[in-house]
Amino acid sequence: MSKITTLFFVFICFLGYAQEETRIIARQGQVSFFSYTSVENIEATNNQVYSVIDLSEKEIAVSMLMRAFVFKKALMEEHFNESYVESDIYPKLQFEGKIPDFDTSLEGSQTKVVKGDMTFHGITKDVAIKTQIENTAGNYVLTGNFEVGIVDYDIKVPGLLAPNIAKIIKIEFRFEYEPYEEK
Amino acid sequence: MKKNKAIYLLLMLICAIPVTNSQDLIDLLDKEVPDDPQYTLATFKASRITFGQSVETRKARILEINVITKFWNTPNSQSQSFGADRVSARFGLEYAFTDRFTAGVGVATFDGTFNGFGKYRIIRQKEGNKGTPFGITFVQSASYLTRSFNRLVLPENSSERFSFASQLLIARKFTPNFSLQLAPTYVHRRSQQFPEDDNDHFALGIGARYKLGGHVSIASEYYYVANPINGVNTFGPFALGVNWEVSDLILQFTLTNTLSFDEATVISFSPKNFNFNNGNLHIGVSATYVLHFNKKNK
Repeated sequence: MSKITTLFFVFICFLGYAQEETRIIARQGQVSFFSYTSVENIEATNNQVYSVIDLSEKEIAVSMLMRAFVFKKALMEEHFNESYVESDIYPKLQFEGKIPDFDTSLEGSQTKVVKGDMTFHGITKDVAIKTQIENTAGNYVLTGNFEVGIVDYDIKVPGLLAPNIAKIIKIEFRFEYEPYEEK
Repeated sequence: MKKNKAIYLLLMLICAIPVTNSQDLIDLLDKEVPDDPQYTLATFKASRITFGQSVETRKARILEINVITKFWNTPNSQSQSFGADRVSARFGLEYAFTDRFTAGVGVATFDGTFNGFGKYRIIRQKEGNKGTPFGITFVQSASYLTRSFNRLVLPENSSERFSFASQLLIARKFTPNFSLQLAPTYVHRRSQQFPEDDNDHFALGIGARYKLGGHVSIASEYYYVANPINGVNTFGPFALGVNWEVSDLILQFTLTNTLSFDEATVISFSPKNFNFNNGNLHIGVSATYVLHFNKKNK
């Protein structure tokens, strides 16, 4: 007993607390998608994307409402929700993953691969997304872009509109984190 | 020694609190993402179910250009006309001043009726917690007859050429695929052509939409007229249709017994019953092009 045990408990204690304190959250993350074809360019942005990172576990999660995507054309927004992503049945896109070799002690910029499961339109797929992590004095910003095939998530496009909608959608994201405090 | 143990226990207890407090990140986000009720989208996709108004209005600063055509054959026709014996068309413009208020005008070729309306969304259906179970839209329309057609005679006095329709549209999107609308309607005709008949008519419309796939739906509509015109035989207007939406274009194909396009005339004066005989069955093709003046610049 005595000193070593005490120290051990204190250490465990700090680990426990550290875990709580190392959660950071982004509540106004931005996700944009782009569908570029020779016929039509479509883009939409969601400015209400939520993401949380557990720095000690190197885990990350993202969640967003499909209805929060804003299009230039109101009717396109309606078609997007009603006919393509069916947001009344599948309201959210969710991502759960890890950043395996994330160096939380490193200040400045590092590029890491985020691996995890993306669930969208009722389908869950493994994805690996190359992400730029910016750390300035404990303020984390994650940015990156990746591509998604609409067939992978069972998004149906009628034949007549096939030339208007890209088979591969480009997605860009930017999350700015702040320390997490329970609501 | 006992004092030490107590301290250890206390430490362990403090330790245990944050550890058990840890939860799945995705559950944590579920609490964060807002659960506000959202306006129901696309109870009906177009501003008309088939021939009648739907609860829908367009978003602010959108112009709809619509062309509605009807084709039919005349009874006992020996004619050699290509396709159909008769054709009628209505050209219309509808502009959404706000998300809730739309006004429109149109003119029909066959009966020469000018028609205008204002449409206001009183209540919009909302989904989610503390949502609103249905939507209500009010439509006031006026029609002005400019020539005699069928058995309707153009009144001498121009004020008698007007007729008006007031409608309260009550609709609910029950499932993502099924919507239903009830439309209590009041029609006032200024025409004195049928002196035996009322100039005020009360009708109840029922319309429904069923979505077959992402872009195709079937729709049907019927108006029961409580005190119809008896001076000539009139029937409740009925239609069965298929709606198809492709990006900025909405196409509606209908089979109907209605001859006119404006609400007041269709509901009070449909002189044919719905059947597949020549002269009675009208095939309608409607195309609506949606023009956005509201391009949001991010």
